[in-house]
This record gives sequence, structure tokens and C-alpha cells, in this order.
Amino acid sequence: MIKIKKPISPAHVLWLLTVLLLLAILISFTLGRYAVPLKELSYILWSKIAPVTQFWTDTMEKIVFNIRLPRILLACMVGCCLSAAGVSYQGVFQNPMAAPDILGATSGAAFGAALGILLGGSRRIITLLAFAFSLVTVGLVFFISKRARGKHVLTLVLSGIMVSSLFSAGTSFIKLVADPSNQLPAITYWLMGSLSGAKTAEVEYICIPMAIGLIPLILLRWRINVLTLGDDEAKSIGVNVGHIRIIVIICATLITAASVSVSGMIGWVGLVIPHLCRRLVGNDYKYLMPASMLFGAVFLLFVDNVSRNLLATEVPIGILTAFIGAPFFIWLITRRGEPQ
Amino acid sequence: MSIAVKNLSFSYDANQVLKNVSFTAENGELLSILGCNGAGKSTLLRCMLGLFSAYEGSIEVNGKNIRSISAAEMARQIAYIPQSHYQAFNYSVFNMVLMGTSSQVSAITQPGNLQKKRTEDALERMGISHLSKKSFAYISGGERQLTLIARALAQNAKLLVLDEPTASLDYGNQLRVMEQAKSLIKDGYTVIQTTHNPEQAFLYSDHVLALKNGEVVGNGTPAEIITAELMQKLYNVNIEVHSLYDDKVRVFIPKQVIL
Repeated sequence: MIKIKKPISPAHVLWLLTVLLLLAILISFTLGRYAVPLKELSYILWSKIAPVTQFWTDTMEKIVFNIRLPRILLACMVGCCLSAAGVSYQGVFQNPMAAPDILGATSGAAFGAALGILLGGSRRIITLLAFAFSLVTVGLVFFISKRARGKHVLTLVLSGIMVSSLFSAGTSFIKLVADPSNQLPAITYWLMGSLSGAKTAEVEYICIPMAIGLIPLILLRWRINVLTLGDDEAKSIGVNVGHIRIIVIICATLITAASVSVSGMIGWVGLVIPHLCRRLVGNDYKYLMPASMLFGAVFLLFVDNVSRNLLATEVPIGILTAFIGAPFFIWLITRRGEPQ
Repeated sequence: MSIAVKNLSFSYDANQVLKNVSFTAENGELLSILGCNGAGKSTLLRCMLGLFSAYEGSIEVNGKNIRSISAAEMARQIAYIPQSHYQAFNYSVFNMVLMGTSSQVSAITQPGNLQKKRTEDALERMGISHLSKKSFAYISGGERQLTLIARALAQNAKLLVLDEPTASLDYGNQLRVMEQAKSLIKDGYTVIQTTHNPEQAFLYSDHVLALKNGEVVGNGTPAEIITAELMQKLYNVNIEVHSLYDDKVRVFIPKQVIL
């Protein structure tokens, strides 16, 4: 018999992740082409709380608050949301391979963004269209699955695949008719995923749907445990399976749509981070949900730092998450030890 | 705690699975439901648990129609103990049992100290406290079955519905699980199980229901139902029944073996 062996308790892992996240945030402020040393940074941040005589340049302060702060926040929020959405979908679909794009939210967002670029919209219009189409896609998936015969969970996933491929075809068509000198590169770049457009206003704006989606997921996390047992068992335990699943799916979709609409396609986070967290804290969503959120934030912040500092030009973050995510996932599934 | 099933019929599309099934399980009895594969046993359990609702007839728990009872209320009356099966995600034995208490807290809260105490008591009652921290996927089949029974106890329901509890267990574990089921009767629980083992049903039951093609073909005490004639009819086999120890035990022998 094998015991569930964990070197540190799940509660301690959560504390460690919190400390790690705060450290990562602090260090991220100092990284970039314009050097902001740790000492100056500490005083700049401290000056917002208590009065300090300024010994740093105004540029430094501007960079910290207007450029790095929104970007760091956005990286954390998007990482947190994608990871939370992935772990939630895995629970309610009882499927370890479920990821945030399972119901077509990502391909809908891609189509919306491509359309926005084709129509020559501003960045705000592009974000808005991506968000709207993301929700439309998932709505369509729901509508189709309601009319399909068979097990509801299965038809939901199947219609997700179908509608996804439909919108991917739509995106391809837009790329075909787009102006190859400026629109096509813009679309391609958007599809590769990037946080480079982060502006304070945008971050504040997108935080609203993210918070609306994340809070119920945190609150309902014990119920997600029960849902992983399967419908019959969960129902006979007294859990309203239909309601809980719908709420979780809507919340997970909302945060996915909000994330991809500002960041473009960032793959792997929603699959790899939840699985890594399963190894760290086990499958109990009481710890797994917050652990996934924290780790997702740390991970994407780390990758975004690489993305903006690795080369002279920015490397799209979607490429990096795939480069890091795929080999890491292979390591995770081939590693010896207890399968979860 | 009693359950009364009256004129229950159920169909999957055109295929009628249950035909006019009526019986009552009284408080404090162990009812075994016998029948060959496809006789409608599982469908019957699902209807009783409120998992299927498209049936005709009525099901009453303590005189109350289950259609008028909420899911959470149902969970406080009836607990389901499924056959242990593959699960997408693995939990500790403690958490598996703790999940049984979910209907006792609101949807947005975690089970608290009261629920944890109930979980510990249920593990203690089933004699598996030592497995508490072990992983559900890596304990034996018998231990898994006891864990699922413990979950039903933590759920605080007095009517336990077991779906072939001993089907995939070795001989020793079959006896241990049935002994536990029997001892729960003494504590005031009502137990309903489906089984493919008439000898075991005879040994442990107070009441036996025999189903064939969705119809009740026998409903009474084990001595009345578990007879050579009815078992031959039920399973389409040629058998001989021997009674031992003043009819405390009945042994079934396939005739082709001794001819």
C-alpha cells in the first residue's frame, strides 16, 4: 500500500506560493531595459505609503507605475485565470485533459480579434470583440449541446470541438483576405499571445469580469471535489450537480474569455499548472484551487519576464509557454512516482 | 426508516425495464434484490435514489413521495453505495468519506469540525480509521467498499442502498462487508442491496425480492423465495438446493456436476 506522501502540507504549499508570488512581483519590477535597482524600487513603492525624499528619477517612477505595474498585474491575473479555468473544467468534466479552450472560448476570441484587426479597430475594439466572440462561441456550444442527443457532458465537449474548428476556419479566412503588409502580421502576432499592450486602464477594466469569475470558483471549490465522483454519486450525496456544473462552467468561461481577449492565445498554462499543483497539494480542490491560481500567476509572470528580456525584441509569450509547457508536461507524466 | 415502492414502471425509449414493481422495505431490515443480468435491478435502485424520475408509479420514503423531496433532503434519508470504480481523480480515504457530508453544509462552505468528527466516527465504525490518510485508489477492493459505506454513514442517512457490494471482492472481503452490513441493521439502519449470490442473500437477508424481466416474481422471507424452483426460473439453470444446520444455510449445487 502506498501512502499519499507529501513532504510539506498543502497549507504550507499555499503560503510558500504566496511568498513566491510576492517575491516574483518585486523582482519583475526591476527587470527590463531601463534599469530600476531594487533599492530605488523599494523606496518608490514605499513613497506611496509614507513620504520619502525623492532620490530617483521621474522616469524611473513612471516606468514602475505606468509600464511595469500594469504588465505585472496583467501577467498575474491572466496566469491565475487560465490556470483556475483549467483546473475547474478538469473537475466538472471529470477529465484530466480538459483545458481552458475546451468549450471554444479561445478560438472564439481569436476570431473576434482577427475580425477587429481586419476592420482596422483600435486596441480597445479588438479586445472587446475578442471578449464578445469568446462568449458568443461558448453560448453557441451550449445551445447546440442542449439540442444534441446523448450524455450532456459528452455533447458539450463534442460541440466545443466542432464550434472551435468552425471559428478557427473563420480566423483562417480572415487571414486569407487580410492585408498581408500590416493586418496579417498583426493577426499572426496576436494569435501568438502577448501581454505587451498592457495599459493601466485596460487592466482595471478586465479585472472586473476576472473577479466575477474567480470568486465563485474559490467559494464552490469543495463542491467541485464532489462533482469529480460522477453525476450519480454526487447527486445521491445531495449535491445539485446541474446547477454547480453550470455555475462553474460559466465562471471558468468568463475568466478565460477575459484573459484571451487581452493576452491573445496563451496555451499550456491551463493544463500544466493544474497538474503540477495536483502533484504538490493533491486533488482536493480546497487546496488545489488556490494553489493553481497562485502558481498560475507566478508561472506566467516568470514566462513574461523571459518574454520581454530574452531578446532585443519581445518574444510572444504563447511561444514560450509552449516551449516550457510541453517538455515540462512530458516530464510530469513520465516521472516515476504516484500517479494522481 | 422505510421505503415503499408502488406500481413502479420504467422504460428506456420503447424498452420497458420495470413492470409494475411493488414492495416495501421496513425499518431495520436487510433486503436483497435478486435477478439475472438485465433484470432491472440497477434501474430499480436508480429510481429509488431519485436519479431517474421518468417513471410511473410512486416511491415513498417514510410515507413521503420522493418527488416532493429536495436533493439535499433525499441525501439525509437515503445513501447510495456504488460499486467502486475508476475515478478521474484520486482522493485520500478521509476526503472520500468527508465528501458524504457535503449536503450538511451550504454550497459555498467547506465541511467543518462537525463534519470531520462524523467522518472520523464513520471510519471508526467501519474499522478503517487506520486507512484515513491512505489513497483511495491504492487500498484493496474490500477496503474501498468499506470506505464507501463509511461515506454513506457520514452522510447521516438511515437507508443504505448498495449496488452489488460484494461483486468484485474476494471471499474473505465478501464476508467482512456482509457482516458489517448486518451489524448496521442492529444500529437501526435499513439496508437494501442487489446481489448475484443467492446463498449469501439467504445467509444475511431478512427479506428477498426476486426480479425477472422487470417483474417481481418473488417477494418474501429468504426461506420462501430462495428455493430450487424460483432460482431455476430466475437464472435458467438446473440446480439442487440443500438445507444445512436447521435451514440456517442453503447450498446450491448445479445438477450437471453431480449427474
